Amino acid sequence: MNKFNYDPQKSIQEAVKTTTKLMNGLQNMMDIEDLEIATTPKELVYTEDKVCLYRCKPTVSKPHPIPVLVVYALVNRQYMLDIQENKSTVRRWLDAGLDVYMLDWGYPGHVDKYLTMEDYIDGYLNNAVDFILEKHNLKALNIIGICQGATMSVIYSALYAEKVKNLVTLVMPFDFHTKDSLLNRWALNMDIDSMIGASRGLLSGDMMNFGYNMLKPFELSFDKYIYFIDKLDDKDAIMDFLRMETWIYDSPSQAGPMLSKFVKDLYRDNKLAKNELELGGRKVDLKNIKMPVLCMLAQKDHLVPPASTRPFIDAIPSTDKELLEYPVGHIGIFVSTKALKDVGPKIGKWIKERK
Amino acid sequence: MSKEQQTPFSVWTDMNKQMLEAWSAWASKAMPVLPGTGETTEANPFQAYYDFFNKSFSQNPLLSSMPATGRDFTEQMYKSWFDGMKNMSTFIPNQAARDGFDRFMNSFNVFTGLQSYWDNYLKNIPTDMKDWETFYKNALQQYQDVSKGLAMSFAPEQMKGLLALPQEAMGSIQQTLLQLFKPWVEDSAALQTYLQKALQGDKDAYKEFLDEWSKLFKDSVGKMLNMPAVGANRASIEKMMKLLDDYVKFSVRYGELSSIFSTMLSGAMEKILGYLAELHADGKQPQTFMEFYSIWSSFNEKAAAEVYSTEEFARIMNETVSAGSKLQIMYDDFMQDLLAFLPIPNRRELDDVEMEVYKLRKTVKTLEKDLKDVKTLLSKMPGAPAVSDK
Repeated sequence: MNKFNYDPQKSIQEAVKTTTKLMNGLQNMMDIEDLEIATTPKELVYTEDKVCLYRCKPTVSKPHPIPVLVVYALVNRQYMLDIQENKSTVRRWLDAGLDVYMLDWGYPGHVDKYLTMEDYIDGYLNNAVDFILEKHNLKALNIIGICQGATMSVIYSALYAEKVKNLVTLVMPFDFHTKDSLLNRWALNMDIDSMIGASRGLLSGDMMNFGYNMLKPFELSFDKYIYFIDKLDDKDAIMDFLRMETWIYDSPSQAGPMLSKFVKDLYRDNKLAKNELELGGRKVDLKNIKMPVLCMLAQKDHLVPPASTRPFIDAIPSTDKELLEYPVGHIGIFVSTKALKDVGPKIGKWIKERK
Repeated sequence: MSKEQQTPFSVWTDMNKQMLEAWSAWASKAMPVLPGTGETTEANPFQAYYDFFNKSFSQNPLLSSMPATGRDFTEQMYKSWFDGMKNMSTFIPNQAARDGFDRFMNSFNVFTGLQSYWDNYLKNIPTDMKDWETFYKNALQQYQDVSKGLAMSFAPEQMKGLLALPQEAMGSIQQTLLQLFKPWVEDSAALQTYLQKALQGDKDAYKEFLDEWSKLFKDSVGKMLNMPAVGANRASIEKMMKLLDDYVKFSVRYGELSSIFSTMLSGAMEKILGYLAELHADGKQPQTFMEFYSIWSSFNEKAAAEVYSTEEFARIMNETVSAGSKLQIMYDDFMQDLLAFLPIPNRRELDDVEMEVYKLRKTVKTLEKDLKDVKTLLSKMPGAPAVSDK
């Protein structure tokens, strides 16, 4: 020990330990062949272009008669809800007795780069809803929208209110002008059309991820890996970590016109919160959202800050509406132990109470 | 494991493990240079490791393709190990695991650079307070090397590609830009002042310089680059000049953005060094590198959050992204012109085909829907024959 109280031997041992852990990690990763993500049994029931609709196999003998359609964001993949067996929100919904359909937007390629918001909402989403309604001989179903998918679900519910029995939104960006969101600030003057043009009409998922990682650059690009090195001996921990990494970096490219309208009309002009949004020449009137609404947000969400979601509840005339807040982050609301115990069953109970 | 079961990977990992054991054994006995005292141990701290490393290489033919050690043994040793790990990771069968491991290694590379910096910092801590100022200045100066490229280390390939030219050819570009700036600098006292300060390391002055110069450029040569050309190659000449104009605009904006990141990182390091000095004074300094890393990371994250929340950062970032995007569009367009002479379809032509496919797909869907509605109507008519769904 020197006079500055620094212990070089301890530091060297620390370095040796880190290096050894990395090598063990390499060896452990050599043994991985399948990460086993999204293992809940499901059946492909409808396809349109690259969009797929799955029906999850019910786990109860008599599921709730009004099915649920889960609408996820376009910027990531829906299997976050079924990331692994013991952290599967979908399994919680199935166990709660719901009949769950999940929309998979697919990976847009160059042939899909001209898709508009109308194509997504009036086309793919509405067609999937019609398919389910026809199959079950119903007039309306339940929708659970997540993140950007929740915003799209709200737009859909305003345009096709008669087809939506109950609406549940999770971590939904609604008011895009809240100052506590870096994304909102940055998007305000973003030259999105040039960005799309530079990406030949299809903004890559890597670019989107880079933007998200920039929000917390040291935590998300360094700390996350450096602190995990200590767990590289643990195969189960590696599997959990890699499943999450797979999901984070599995980001589909974004079709230009859809993204452009989303950024300009919502992020820049905040038209949805101002009730000024139009789609295909029709007004997206929030006053049409009279169905029961359950709105859930994550208090530690750095992507969709609570202030962005909260105003939604007051913006709609529904008389049966509830806002629930959880002390977790944007992803934690789906995978944290506490949220898994509360959020999934709560949604199941809430929907079943509104037959 | 029998010799027959050995693979390059198993040999390599075994060797590295044994090397680590050798390193560990040495670390428990030897003591490197004592920080601040100048005292050294007689033994060469790397000898045991070095001997083992060389022996392993000379005795195992499977390792002959590994990079050889150079004069700077420690640096080469780390590089060999790091490259070896990166090469070996290509054998990870699962793509997600392979990508994940690459991200571990990228972080670890930054981590190691920081560790060397930290070791150096400790070695040079002055014993006399009067030397503290010089030490502090040197520590900040040395940090520039560590922080270089930090912001872009995780950037997507598309962005790296756009930035590759400015980064790889920074020296020549600086010279070119200085030559480019020269006529304006000679005529502007403000530019001269800013440039003088910028060359002394004043980052604010650098930004002011770029701002002022880009205004003057836009009103002079910028106008020339954007003026209509004449003659048979008019379109190509105009595009080339526009491309040059876009490149200059992007370089200026990128310079401004880099300056913000650089100021942010050095500002955070200043605070870290100040904080470490306080800890030293109280006898609470970090005991290990990990403790230092934790301080480094949290101070930097806080600095980033502060900078990101400013209007100025949002403006400059958006201007840089916009300028970069426009440059990319212009560059692609230019390349498409060049490719147009080849007997293969180019992106522009594919775009047209893809648009047609998009429109046709929509038309088919509409017709399918209409047909379904007609069939439904027909089937409801009294006495109508059964209509097939197909």
